[in-house]
Amino acid sequence: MPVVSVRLWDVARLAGTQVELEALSTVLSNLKLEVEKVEADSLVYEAPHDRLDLYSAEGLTRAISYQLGIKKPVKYAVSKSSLYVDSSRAPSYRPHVLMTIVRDVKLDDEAISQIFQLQEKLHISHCGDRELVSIGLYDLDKLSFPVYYREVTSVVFRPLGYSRVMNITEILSETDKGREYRHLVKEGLYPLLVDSEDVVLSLPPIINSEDTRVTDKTKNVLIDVTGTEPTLMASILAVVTMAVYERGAKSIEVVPVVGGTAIEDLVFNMLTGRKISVKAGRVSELIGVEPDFREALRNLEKYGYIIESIEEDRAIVWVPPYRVDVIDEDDVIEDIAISLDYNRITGILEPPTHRGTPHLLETVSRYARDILIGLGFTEVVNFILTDPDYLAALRYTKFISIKNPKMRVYSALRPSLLPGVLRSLSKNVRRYGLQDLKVFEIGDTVDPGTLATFKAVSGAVYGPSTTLTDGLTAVRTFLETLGFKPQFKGVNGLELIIDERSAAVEVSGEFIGIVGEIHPKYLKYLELEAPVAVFEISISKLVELLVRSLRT
Amino acid sequence: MSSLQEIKLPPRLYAIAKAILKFGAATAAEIARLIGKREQDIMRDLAELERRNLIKVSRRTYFKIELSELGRKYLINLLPEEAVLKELASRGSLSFSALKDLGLSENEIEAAIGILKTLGAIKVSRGHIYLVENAGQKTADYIQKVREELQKYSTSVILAEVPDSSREVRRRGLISVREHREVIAEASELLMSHSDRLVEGEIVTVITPEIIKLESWDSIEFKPFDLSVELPRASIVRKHFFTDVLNYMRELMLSLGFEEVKGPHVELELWNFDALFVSQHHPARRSTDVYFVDREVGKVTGIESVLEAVGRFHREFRGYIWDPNIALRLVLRTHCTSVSVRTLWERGPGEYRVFTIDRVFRPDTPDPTHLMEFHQLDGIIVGKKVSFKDLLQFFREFARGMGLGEVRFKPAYFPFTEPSVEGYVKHPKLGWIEVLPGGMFRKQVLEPLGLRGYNVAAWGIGVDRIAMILLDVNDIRDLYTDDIREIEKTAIPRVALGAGSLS
Repeated sequence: MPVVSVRLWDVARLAGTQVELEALSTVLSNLKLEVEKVEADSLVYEAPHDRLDLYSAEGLTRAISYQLGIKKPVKYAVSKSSLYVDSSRAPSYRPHVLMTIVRDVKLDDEAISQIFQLQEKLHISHCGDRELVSIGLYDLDKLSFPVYYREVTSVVFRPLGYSRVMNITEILSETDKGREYRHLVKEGLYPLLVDSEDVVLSLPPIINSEDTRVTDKTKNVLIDVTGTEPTLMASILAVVTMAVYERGAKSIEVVPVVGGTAIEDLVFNMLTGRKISVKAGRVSELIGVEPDFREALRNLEKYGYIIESIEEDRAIVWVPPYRVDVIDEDDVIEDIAISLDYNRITGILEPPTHRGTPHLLETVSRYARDILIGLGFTEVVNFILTDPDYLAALRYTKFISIKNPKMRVYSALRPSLLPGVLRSLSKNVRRYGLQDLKVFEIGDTVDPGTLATFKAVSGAVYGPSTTLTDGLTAVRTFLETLGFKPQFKGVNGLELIIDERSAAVEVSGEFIGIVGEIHPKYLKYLELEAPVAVFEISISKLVELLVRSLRT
Repeated sequence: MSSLQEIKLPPRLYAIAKAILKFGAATAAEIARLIGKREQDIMRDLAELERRNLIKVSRRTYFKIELSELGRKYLINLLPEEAVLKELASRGSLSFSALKDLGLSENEIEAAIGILKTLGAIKVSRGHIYLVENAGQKTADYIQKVREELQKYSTSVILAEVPDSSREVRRRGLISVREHREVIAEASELLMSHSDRLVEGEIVTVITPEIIKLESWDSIEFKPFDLSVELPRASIVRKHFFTDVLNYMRELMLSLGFEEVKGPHVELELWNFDALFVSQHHPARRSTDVYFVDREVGKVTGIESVLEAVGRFHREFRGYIWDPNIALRLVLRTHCTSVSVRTLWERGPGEYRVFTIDRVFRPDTPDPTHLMEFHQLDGIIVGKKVSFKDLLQFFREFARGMGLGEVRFKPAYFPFTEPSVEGYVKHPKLGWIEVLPGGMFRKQVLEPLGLRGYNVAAWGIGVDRIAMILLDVNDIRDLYTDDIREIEKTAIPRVALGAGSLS
């Protein structure tokens, strides 16, 4: 969730009145904002991911003003501009451009830094870090229309923040933004926004030109988005446009796109606001209480909506352009629910229509635990994520790995519980100087073949006179107590276990696990001085057998 | 016990028996003094010895009679009535005022006149006392009897009963009578015949098989246990406390009518994200937030239709070109909501409640509040009439069951629910903490899964935090300990013991 920083004096300026922070706690909660800190004159908050409009002071102030009743929602004057952008030679891998113009704004350093913050937060949260959409703002009066969005092989201009002109190669290698985003452009096929007198606006999605920069003297702002996703672009552009608009503008112009795909209607429709039908029946069905419909609708004004018309059982609601989070009537109903105060929504939890039932794997696991406790084994738990080097040291060769581990010791998925149980055993024996110890674990393993989860139980018996018998008798008692008749058969090739001292466990002729004595080589590795007998039984397999027997 | 055998007695009984033998019979007070105990402390021992026929115990009451101070005076001097008679004999009559000159106290004068009048020895008239003729013998008899009694008790006398003859002197306060009770132990024949075969028994700390077999419990004395000594804990084999707490949560869910389901840990992005209407460009899907599995998925069949529908909804409502290949990548599930979504897809429309408690994974470095692997309790309530209110009520019910008290709700955002909520409970140390996130699944989640006209309340509770509160654990890593000493000593949470049902 993006963390946004605003100045309280800027908020007061935008609201046209002083706003007391103490009065805001319910309002901020209604807007799903989480205050991170208040310092001197700045308020830092976490905005919900879907409320793009709240990523800067302009949108925040607008929302607060409606909530506090300082202002009432209005519709915006949106028109199509007589100017146009030509995208006939746009790069095919980044084919779309959309532009709006916002005139007569008053900007200062704070306003510019807020718009910059909004731009940056949007790039990260919704624009795929500029891959899908990149946003640019320019001083309209520094350029001449029409503007061209085209693919170029080379160009020379002064990048934003630099005093000298550079060619594209220099920009991509010498500027920070160039290095950060050069992977988004194709060599020799560079996207460029340039005006009719060859003044460069930007090299999207990398960097703007210094020549068209927005400053505190800028009165008329041109905003563009380029990218691959027209609908997303329109939403992003609407949000940015509406933020800039709050800096004193009276109207918005949408710039027609010629030559390429004319998608400007997407943003035009967005900016004029959408209409959603809200049904009284759906309100009570979704929330579970029946508020007064008219009253509930009146409250929606505090969330920026305008009620177009009300009938007995439905209403048409105008959704403001910056509320790109609103997808359908349920989104509007959520704002109704919020205005009712969640804490006042009470009643009973409707009784269940079925009895509760545990999963068979858990039922069997619970009995398994009881039996093993009765056999004197202490229960341990370990992580599913484990150390591949440790697995390899115990000669486990097949297991699933994580592509992007944070720590190597937690980068493999355990294919068996045995390594964890052995490590727990060894740790405790050494830590407490124990002569003997029995531990077990019940948990999930990930099968490297099928990638499926399997539940298993594994135990280890340590002591100076431990032999395979200790493992075998434990397993026999364990399985017989669960009502299964085990058979033990010799088995070879389990690296960790001595060939002559190992057994496969079968129930009804099916392999369900192993029992064995750990090879002294690995006892040495685990720093254990006495023998260890181990077992691992598949609980998933037992449940399978159980279900089969219950069905026949 | 044959007469020739030894009699083995525990040390204290032995000492008492020896004392009694020495005197033949003795009072309890004497015995106690002899063995250095208090009388009341040996009464049980005497009873025990009597039970074993070694002594006879009798109780005796006696009276100790002796002269009072007044009695001692009259033993030497005249009785007041004698003094009065003597004066009358010489003077014939006496005025009351003259009586005072005899050196008698007012009480004595009153007593003398009362007695003499009763005996008929004097008459009183007009302030004077006159001797009555022929009454001398009766008075002399009385005085002699009193004198005899005074003589009898001139040294103290112990009697089994108070004699009738002493009634008059007792009435006149000339003697004092005190009642005494005592316990007397007398050696029995058995004890006397075995006086040289008494053997002192032992003080026992451990009961041996011999004691039981030889039934020798009567001849031993148990060493008193010093309860002030710090005790070690008994070693115990335990189930892991964290598993217990998870099972407690499981039971709570079952009691609310939920069926438990399970799903895989290695999951398709489809079920972890796409089917939940999370845009493929959402930051939560980046490699800083998700573990990607180093394995390509093989051929997946049976999900073609849901893939198509999910893709369509993403394109239509999120407005971007949705890539099915991304949906088919493998991740470690970041939440158990994937299990809820799979269940919806498998079961479709209906009236049901399911839950799962299981592990989820997020790239994190372990510290006191973070782990790369932890637990979530995810659940859904599915039905035509299920509402947001039911979700809030479920949270309230769950918090009550967990002993977490009151829940406060705040609006929240999740890409897959509308309305969305976060429930807060009061932590004993940290104040209000968020533990109950949920919402109503969006139509854009439900419709591709085949649910139209149904509402689904859904949540994904991070249960580790709740387990930490219940277990009073401050470091999340301690929940996953494999240290047997920690496992041994962690107490069962009060809530799990039933406090949850009271709140």
